[in-house]
Amino acid sequence: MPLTTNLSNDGTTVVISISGRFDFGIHREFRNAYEKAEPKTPTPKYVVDLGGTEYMDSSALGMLLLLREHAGGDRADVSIINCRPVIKEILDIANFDKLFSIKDAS
Amino acid sequence: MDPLARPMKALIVDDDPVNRKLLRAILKKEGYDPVIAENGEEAIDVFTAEHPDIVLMDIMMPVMNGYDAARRIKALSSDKFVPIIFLTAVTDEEALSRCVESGGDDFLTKPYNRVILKAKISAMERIRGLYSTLNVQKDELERYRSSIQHELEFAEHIFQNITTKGTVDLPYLKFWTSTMSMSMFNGDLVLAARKPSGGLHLLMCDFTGHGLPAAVGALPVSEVFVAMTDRGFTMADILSEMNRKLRRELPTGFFCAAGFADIDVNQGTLSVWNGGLPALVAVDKTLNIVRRFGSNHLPLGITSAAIRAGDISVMEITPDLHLVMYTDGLIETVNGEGEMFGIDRLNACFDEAPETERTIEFIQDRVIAFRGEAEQNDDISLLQLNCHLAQHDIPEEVLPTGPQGVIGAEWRMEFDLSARVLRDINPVPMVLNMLTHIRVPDEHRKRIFTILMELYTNAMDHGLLQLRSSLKSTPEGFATYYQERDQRLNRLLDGKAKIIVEQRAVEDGYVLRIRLEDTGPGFDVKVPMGKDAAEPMLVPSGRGINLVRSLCRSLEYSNGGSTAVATYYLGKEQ
Repeated sequence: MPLTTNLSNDGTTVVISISGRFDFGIHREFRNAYEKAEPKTPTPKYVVDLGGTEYMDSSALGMLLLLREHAGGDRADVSIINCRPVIKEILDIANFDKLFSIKDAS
Repeated sequence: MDPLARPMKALIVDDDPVNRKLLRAILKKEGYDPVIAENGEEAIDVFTAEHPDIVLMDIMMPVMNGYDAARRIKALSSDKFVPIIFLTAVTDEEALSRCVESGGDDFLTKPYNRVILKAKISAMERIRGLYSTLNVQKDELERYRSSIQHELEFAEHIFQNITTKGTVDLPYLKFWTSTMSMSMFNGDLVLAARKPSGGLHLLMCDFTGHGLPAAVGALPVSEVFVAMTDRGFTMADILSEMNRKLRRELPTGFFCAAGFADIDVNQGTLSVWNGGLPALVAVDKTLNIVRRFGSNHLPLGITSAAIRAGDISVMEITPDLHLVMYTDGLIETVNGEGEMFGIDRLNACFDEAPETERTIEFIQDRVIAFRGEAEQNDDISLLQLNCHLAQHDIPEEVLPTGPQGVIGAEWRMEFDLSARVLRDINPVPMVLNMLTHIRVPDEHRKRIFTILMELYTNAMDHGLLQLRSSLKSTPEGFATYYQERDQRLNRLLDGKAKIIVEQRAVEDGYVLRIRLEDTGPGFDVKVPMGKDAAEPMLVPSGRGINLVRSLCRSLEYSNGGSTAVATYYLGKEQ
């Protein structure tokens, strides 16, 4: 599965993990992942784990923006974690650190 | 027409009357309408006249055998499926394979078994049904495809019309755009427009995705860019408006990575804003990279925040300065082995290109050679601007297109601008537009714009913000100057500027008097002017004042430099 969704034990954090290519090909699954998650709070946190992501394009950036809007827009708490250098560079060029909390692969 | 609505017609081809009679009886009982032929040649005539739905064909017949007849019938019915069942006494493999080769769909061995014959015919009916459904769908798809094609061509036409308004043919601007395989539309956009005061605005956009959805965003961007540049707005104003418009009009998740460059003729500067494009590269005569303008902003259309002057990087234009801009499709070009072109190969191009003038041709050749036979999977744009030539391209004045004389009347307008307004708004385009409405002839518009802009910049920078233009004598000082300007502007709490524009009658016609006052402590007008005469390259703002002086009848500074009055001759009443 290129995309898996998990809910933290306390039900407050939705974790979406993507492996392989993060592009338009998985837009439906990505949207389902956050729309169908059933967190136990009206304002859950979202974590997008890109540890297994090898490639992302501009439509993936668009999908992240849609997630951010779903999560409350400017009030959203969305972090993007485990970014490899190539992924980090794409997020950097788009200056997405202004909208998301971004963490490198450790 | 529903093929099941009428009785199905079956063509029986056999030279043996007993066989014909037998088959005829069976088929009739099954609800078919049988027609008869006695040999292959007759079969073709009957087939042409009767259009049967199925053919039962004997093989060995006089005049023309079953193989040849089958081949001819298949050729005649190429647009629909008419099954041919061979009737044969032989069962050797060679004979059966000849049946298939000549277009037979099945065979029935003699003597005939009624049950098997029925089974075979109904199997053929099912295939025929599928075939005709498929044909109907194929026709539908074909109609759909052609109507989509028509709509796309229509959209492309509009798209071309609108976006080419922003393309000017300039000898110092070269660009290459290449649309990804399988698409009519390019999601990249390159626009250039001359400013009313001379100089140039240049914009490169890369919209999310590809094809038509990406191209749609080009329309508002192109309109805003062309119209606002023409009306004298600054790049920060234009970018802010494009940002707002895209945010408002496009769905979330859809945005535009963009690079904007501004050539200021009077200041001799290159200003760059980059939101989401790979770093723009400034190179000198020997293709040394002198500066990279990396992306330090969100792409357009994500938030509705305004873009401020301080978000823009400024550098002085030195002789042979070139700017190279490209979209990520260039460095993400993939070859047959799945390898990316990458930034290292691009940097190598700068080292290896033989001449500055032809840098992008060199890069283009390298990228195309690298891609080889592989498909192009993203749009590519690449451009090179010779900043030095652009800076020295002062457009000729537009000649008036009709009787557009000065209105023979005196008028006056006055703008009082507080610090709060000055922090956010550049009033010059606004004033200029009002002048257009009071029928100040077009031929004067560019000159008046230059005068207003220069006087306003001086009043702000040296009057209210107290910046020293000597700062700009080094490249580092240049950057400091504009950073400092932005910081001081943001902190500006007091102070006012007043712009008074009036048309007055004089002996030989009418003049426009432009008066700029600021509440700052004044500045020494004589110093930059004196220095300017000796070393014109070092004091850009002194250049500005001299330029204004050359355009006006007179230019006078008073109150220690905080009041400037320019008198511009408009001509006689017409």
